[in-house]
Amino acid sequence: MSDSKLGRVDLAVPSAPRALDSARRALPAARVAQGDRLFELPDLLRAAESSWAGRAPAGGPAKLAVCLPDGPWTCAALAWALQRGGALALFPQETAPGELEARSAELGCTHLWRAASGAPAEAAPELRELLPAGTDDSPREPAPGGATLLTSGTTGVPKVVHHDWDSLLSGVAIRDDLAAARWLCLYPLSRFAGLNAALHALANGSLLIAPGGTDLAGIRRHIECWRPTHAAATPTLWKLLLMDLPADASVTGALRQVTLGGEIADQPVLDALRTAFPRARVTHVYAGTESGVCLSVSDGLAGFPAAWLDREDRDVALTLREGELWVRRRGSRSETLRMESRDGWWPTGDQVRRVGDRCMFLGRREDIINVGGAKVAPGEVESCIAGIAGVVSVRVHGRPSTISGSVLVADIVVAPGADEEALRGTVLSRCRARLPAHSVPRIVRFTHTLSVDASGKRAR
Amino acid sequence: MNYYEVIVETVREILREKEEAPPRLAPETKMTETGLDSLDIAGLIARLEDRVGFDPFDRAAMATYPQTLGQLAEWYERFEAREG
Repeated sequence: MSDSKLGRVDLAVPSAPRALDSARRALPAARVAQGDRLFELPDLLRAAESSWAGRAPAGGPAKLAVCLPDGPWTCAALAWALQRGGALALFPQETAPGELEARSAELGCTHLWRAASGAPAEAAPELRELLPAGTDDSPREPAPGGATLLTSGTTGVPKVVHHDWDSLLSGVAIRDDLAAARWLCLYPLSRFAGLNAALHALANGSLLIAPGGTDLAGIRRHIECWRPTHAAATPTLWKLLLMDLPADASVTGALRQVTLGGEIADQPVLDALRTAFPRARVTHVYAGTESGVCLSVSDGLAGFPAAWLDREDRDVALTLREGELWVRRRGSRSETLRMESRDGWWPTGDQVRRVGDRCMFLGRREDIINVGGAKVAPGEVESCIAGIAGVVSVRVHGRPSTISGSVLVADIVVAPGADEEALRGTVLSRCRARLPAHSVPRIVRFTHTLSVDASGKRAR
Repeated sequence: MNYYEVIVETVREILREKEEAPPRLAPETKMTETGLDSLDIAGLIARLEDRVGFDPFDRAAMATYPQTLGQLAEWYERFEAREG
């Protein structure tokens, strides 16, 4: 297959058969909840395999492209692939048909499992063969088992990343006490964070609660109906949920693990979550589609301990090079068409600043804004503003300027009833006091609506 | 549109946000005497673009830049008719 248009990364760790075996043993007990319906995984698997009969070989598709609403049938595909060591390519539900066809072909997918959003969840979607039989008689190499994902980068062509099942399960906690867990996953299952959450549920034989979208009212209903013990979402989605929590303390009290990822977790949201869910541990996770889970912080503070840098004993080693976080997964062999990885180290593209015994995330390297010749990391400005009372969410970006390259703009979502003019003064004076002049926003705008994209990240 | 008035109003707005009292502002006041630094001026032009719909610096191919508030207003008048 040609990857000339796609940067390709393969990550594999030495096989850890115990994790995959444990997951396979647990699968029959797993369940998926969507709406008020509960699906048992064995039923889903049987229905899937019987709907594939006649269109796929007996063991299932050689490589299955999945483009489905987040929910029971994606989980069926995951369970099938885990059981058989099968190969999946997971596409976001909103992928356009033309692009879906093209990428499936590029990835060598033999079958496509697709359903439109809003399709009833009761029946298995129809499986489509992608390569007509007889066109290629040469023996086909079995596709490597695992899941292929697309990165969610906002610039350029999304990269293709493949993780084998052992590698994926190495980021999944599998423990006896998790069998009774109820996992609320608010990420798309086609993204690494969503896949990771779904695998936690499946590999422990527990319940996955999949609202299947970012509609807040729907999410709230799922929380009230299914009472998750574990919940994972972006900081932005958590901020939205915090604004309208279920009043019933037995619902909020059921949560014992709150996880954030996908965006920088600022101190105010971590504090607010600890207050709202007093019985929960709050963890923010740094992971990437290529790199997998790199670090997970549960000490209640933003950023991560500087003591974690440059240590040999971590599964994922961390180091800073010119302000950027590089990671190296122990035992990984990474192949790439572009020479991005040197000596096993992978550049994450995320800027980090060490402040005393803590490392703080500043934002993506490509998000760095040039203001009058000086570099500004929007994440740093955002964290200066995020803690101000009345600020629900802040996004700092550069607006092109004929004078200075960029003018820094802060778009702030305000809490209801906040005094905007007073808030503007506080925002500017705090930035002037704590940041260099070029990092002080010159335009501050307020809005009352916080919108999220399909991944739950604050919409650009 | 009276560009001079819009410019002065916006300069005052920025100075208020900086919590600085505005100096005397007149057509002959130099840009460097308004209390705005270069980044503030970039912000001023951005705000003016939102108000009047265009940025004369985008349209100009001049070697010299306006020195005073009055000259800046003249730039807006001169370039308002042209398409970007």
